[in-house]
Amino acid sequence: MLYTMSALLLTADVAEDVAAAGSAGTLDIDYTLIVMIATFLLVYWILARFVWKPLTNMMEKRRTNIEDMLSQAENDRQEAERIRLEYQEELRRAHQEAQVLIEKATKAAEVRTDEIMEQARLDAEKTKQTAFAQIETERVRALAEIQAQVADISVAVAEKILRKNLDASAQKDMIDQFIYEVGDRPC
Amino acid sequence: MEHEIIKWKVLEGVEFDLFGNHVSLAGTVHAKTLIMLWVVMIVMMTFAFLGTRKLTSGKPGKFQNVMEWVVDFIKKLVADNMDYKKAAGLLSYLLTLIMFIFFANMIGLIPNILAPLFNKIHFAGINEMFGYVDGHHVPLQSPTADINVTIALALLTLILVVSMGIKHKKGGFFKQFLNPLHIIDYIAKPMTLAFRLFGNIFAGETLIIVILTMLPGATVLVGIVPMVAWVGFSIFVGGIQSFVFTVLTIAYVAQAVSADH
Repeated sequence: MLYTMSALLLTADVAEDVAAAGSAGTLDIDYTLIVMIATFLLVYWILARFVWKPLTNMMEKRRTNIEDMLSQAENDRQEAERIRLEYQEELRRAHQEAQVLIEKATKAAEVRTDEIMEQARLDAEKTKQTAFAQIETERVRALAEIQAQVADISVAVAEKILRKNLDASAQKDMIDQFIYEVGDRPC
Repeated sequence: MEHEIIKWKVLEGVEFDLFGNHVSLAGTVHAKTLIMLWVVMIVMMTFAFLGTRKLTSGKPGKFQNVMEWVVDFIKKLVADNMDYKKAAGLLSYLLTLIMFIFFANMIGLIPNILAPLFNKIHFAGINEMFGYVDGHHVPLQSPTADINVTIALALLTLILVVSMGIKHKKGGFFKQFLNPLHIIDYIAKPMTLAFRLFGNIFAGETLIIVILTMLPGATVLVGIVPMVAWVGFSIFVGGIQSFVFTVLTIAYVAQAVSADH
């Protein structure tokens, strides 16, 4: 068909060339076939041994490498997840412990506060008692002192009176009155 | 312009008697096909070795990336069609196959810019194969534009299919041939493989020759437009054909090793 087409399209001269190219031996089967088979098998052997085998081996190696890396990554991920959960649990426990500690501390502080308050109250009471006792002692002591002084003064007064007026009976009322008044004075 | 294919004579004088018959092994090879075949093999091996020169399982280079993409592509094709474990040893063959057919299809599309140089080499007909004929550049030729090469590849596929079938089903593989249609099947499969590839590439290159020689003199520049279109299309066809050949090989092997056959 090609020949017909070219014959129609082209000059007769070219069409003859084309026909000649086809008829002049391309379709002959001869030793070219044997040589081709031998050459092809040789090239196949060389390429299979030195090119395809290393290439496919290398690709297989890369495949296993990637597989290893993926499984390694998966392991790492799981490990990280495990650690994360662990930390979360630990954190939760720490919170709980802290809560317990705070509660305990609060309770202890309350108890301590009560104790301190009680102690303070007792101390204050004690101080008050001591103060009262001291005041009482002071009062008694002051009274005694005053009485002693009154006695001294009385003696002195008596002395003076005696020196001035030996009329004891006349002065007796006055002395009694004086002593009476001194005894009534508050200390 | 008489475009005679150059043939080299081989095995001249290798003669012996076999069961009383005189057998001569003398024959010919297609010189241009053979040279292009070697060029393709060298280009392809260079490409493959460059791609795997600094192999690393870490970050691959650009070249290594291309090679890995090809490997993954074929691996996926195989895994889609059959039990991958059964085809583990097949991968290298399929990779070599698709790479060879692809490079072979492409090399015929490269302009023969060294024609003036080759024209000076008067050895083994190189000036006729790659130089000028009647003032015209002779373009390069894809090895796959020669029926010998495609039949060789198809035969290898046939051998592969049969041996994989025997390997996985033992004697059970031959039971299917009780039905004579399967015999035709096993002849037709490699034939269609061979002729499909040959036809596509040969037609493409023939049209390139036609476009190159269509217009004489300065008007040859007019040929640029159809040439660009056709070479573009040929690149597409070459890629597709290498893919088709490989996929069909996988499919045939899958058929031969599948349990329900």
